[in-house]
Amino acid sequence: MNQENITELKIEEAETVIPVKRQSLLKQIMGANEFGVAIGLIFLIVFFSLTAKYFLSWSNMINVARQVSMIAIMAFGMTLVVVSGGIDLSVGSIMGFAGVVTAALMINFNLPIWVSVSGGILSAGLMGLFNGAAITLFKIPSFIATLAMLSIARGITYLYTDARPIYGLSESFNFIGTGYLGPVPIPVIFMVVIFVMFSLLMRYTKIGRYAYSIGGNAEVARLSGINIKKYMRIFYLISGLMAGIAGVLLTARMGSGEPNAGIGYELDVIAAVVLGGTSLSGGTGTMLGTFGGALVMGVLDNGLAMLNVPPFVQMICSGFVILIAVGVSMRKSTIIVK
Amino acid sequence: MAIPILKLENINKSYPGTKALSDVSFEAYPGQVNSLVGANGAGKSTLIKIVSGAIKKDSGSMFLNGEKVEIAGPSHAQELGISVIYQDFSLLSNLSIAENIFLGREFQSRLFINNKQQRQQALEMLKIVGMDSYDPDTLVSNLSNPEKQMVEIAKALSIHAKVILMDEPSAVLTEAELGYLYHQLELLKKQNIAIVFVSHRMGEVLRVSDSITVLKDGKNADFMNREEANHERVVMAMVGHDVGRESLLATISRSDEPILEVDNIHMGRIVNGVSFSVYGGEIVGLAGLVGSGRTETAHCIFGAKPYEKGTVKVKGKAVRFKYPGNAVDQDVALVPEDRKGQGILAGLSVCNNISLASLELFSRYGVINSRKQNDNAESFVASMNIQTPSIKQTVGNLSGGNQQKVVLSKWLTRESDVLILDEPTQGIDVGARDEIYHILRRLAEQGKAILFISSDLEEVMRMCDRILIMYKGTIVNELKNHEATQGKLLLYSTGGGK
Repeated sequence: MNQENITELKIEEAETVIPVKRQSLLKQIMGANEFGVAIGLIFLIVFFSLTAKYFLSWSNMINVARQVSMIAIMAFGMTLVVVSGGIDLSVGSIMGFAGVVTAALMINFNLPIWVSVSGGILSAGLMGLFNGAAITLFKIPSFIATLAMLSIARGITYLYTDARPIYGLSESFNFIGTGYLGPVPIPVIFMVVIFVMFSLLMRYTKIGRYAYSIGGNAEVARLSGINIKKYMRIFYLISGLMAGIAGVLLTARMGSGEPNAGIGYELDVIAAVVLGGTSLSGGTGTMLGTFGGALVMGVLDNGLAMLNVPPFVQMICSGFVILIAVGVSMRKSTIIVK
Repeated sequence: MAIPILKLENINKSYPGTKALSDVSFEAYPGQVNSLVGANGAGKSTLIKIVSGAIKKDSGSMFLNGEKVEIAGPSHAQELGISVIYQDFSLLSNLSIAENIFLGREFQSRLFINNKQQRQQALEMLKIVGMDSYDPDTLVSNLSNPEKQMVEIAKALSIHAKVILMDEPSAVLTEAELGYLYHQLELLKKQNIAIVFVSHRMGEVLRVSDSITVLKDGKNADFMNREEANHERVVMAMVGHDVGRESLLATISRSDEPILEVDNIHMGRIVNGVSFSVYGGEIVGLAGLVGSGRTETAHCIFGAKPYEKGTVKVKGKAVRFKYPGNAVDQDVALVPEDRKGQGILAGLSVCNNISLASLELFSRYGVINSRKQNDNAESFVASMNIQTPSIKQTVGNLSGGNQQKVVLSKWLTRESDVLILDEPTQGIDVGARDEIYHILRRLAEQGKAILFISSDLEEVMRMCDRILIMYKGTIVNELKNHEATQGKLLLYSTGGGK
């Protein structure tokens, strides 16, 4: 930008100046999108540490982190899509698909681990790209396009495996899902690294900025010269890749390529995103919030299980937690707006 | 003088970080047009929202017919006979005229809506506003802006409104359509309704007002009756200093070769063979009615709408932009008409809005260099005099004029050679307008080619070196600045003068 031109444009100062008043730190914290989920998480942790004996133990905390790692990884990709104004219902199916592809490449084709893993993740990325193509080229709403993919990816998985698991995965592969690096399980390391990458992506790259822009108002973004179709394809591609990584981790953890893996996961993933303060109408949301949302889901499941709450009752509890958390955060946002 | 039907006393309202209104008083008399004017951010909208029940005042009192009232919410305000007509209309375009008029108050007999009765009642209301010939079953989406306005008025009448607040009713109308509005105002005055009229167009405010209340920075700045009012006094009170009305024409000669050439563009039935060229150093006006194809022509050039036939040349090179990104790459910029829907991202910061169209200037391998981006935003906030607490402020919190300056900054960041502006001063106060005019003229002096689309003939005549007039999808005439008069422009833009 030519600085000279700008100074030439200088116009006499107007008399009115909007008074600047810095918001207090407390207000800033309360106004943050992540405030609701943070309160919820703290409440749950305090509650369970008082009621369940071993809840706060290191081994249980590690356990929770490992449990949520796959949901969280997919939720990071989902956040990108939801911020851009879309939704991806196919992540559970793509996850199962990627796991089976990885297992099949190793067992049926005798390929090395790293080739199989890459193949599994890339094939999941292809599925995501297919979503993006359907949405941008044929103008199919993302809800419908990815609902179709939910069915297609699962169908291919069943067709190939005849709905039977692929057994016989090597110990060194299973290490990805079950092993530790020091005291930390490998899936947790994946989760944290991907979280950091996505946080940077949202803040400091064109991909992140354009996701907020397209989700904020696609027409403004288009008229600003952004190739919105290209970027939307990228968003779904990334969401697919994350489902692929989660699929590989789950396969390695279970020790077999399960064609049923990931059924219904998309709903947990979306719940984590929404709990984290991301609006389904697009334009707002953060990875930190999503991370918190995933942890709330994990802590809740884990805590209730430790209290020996029957699984069906757990499901009811999870549902109500989602209602309460989102209800509270909606209330908060209207208060802030006023 | 009669007693005021609506009286506001010492109204205060604060938002976090700003005091929107301090001790504002206002009175509205029945059968009169009581105008409320002020710069963007002076507090007009806040005052209207308080009266209409959309927001609550912090302190102060409000009297209706001499009785003190506390408005609980929008529906309460309606019950009290206060009706608001917003500039972007609150009609549902997928419903019919009758359904819109009686929305929320449907005629119900047992389970079902009595459509017949509703239609008859709607017809009565339409008669009052002079729309006798309209079928109440017409979908609102088929109506033009002035027609929609009449439906809004009919709706207000149907709830027996005693006070009608009109928030920039003329912003969506062209000069030629203003006649309808004046007519409606007369009609409402005869019904002894108090009209609160908000507008940025000084000419019309002076023409229609019985009294003018001027707000500045959330305070009462001046009050004048019809006889006392004149342009200079109103503007003085609004901006604190006089704003020039001198013409701002080119002082340098234009480039030898045109920078933008448009030849015989066709798009559907809306654009029928438009040809013109814009040279470097000049501002060319594109006048005409809303719907004459001005906006569509701009969108065709910019690649935002596909066209069937015709060629566009930029700096002598034939181009055909598939999507706006191509145009941006070739140094063409478009400041769109609809600021909220096409110009700003209300939820993003000032900084992120300004850099939106040129992130590649601030990034490498897709990673954004925040410092470069912030520096650029800071320099524009200073040079364009954008009033914002910081570049991190979300644009939705700025006033309309400042939002428009953000949109301008977004395109100036790119230093495009061709600048197309579609109604760039719509809804902007005189002070900010004047700043924008000067900015545009300086850009032209730097050799840029500027196409200036506007319905405000006053500004077209003040700003533009040449004026193209569009009617029904073609350019029917071209006037040099010195040849142009309001009368000629109106005549040609309504298809006359052949």
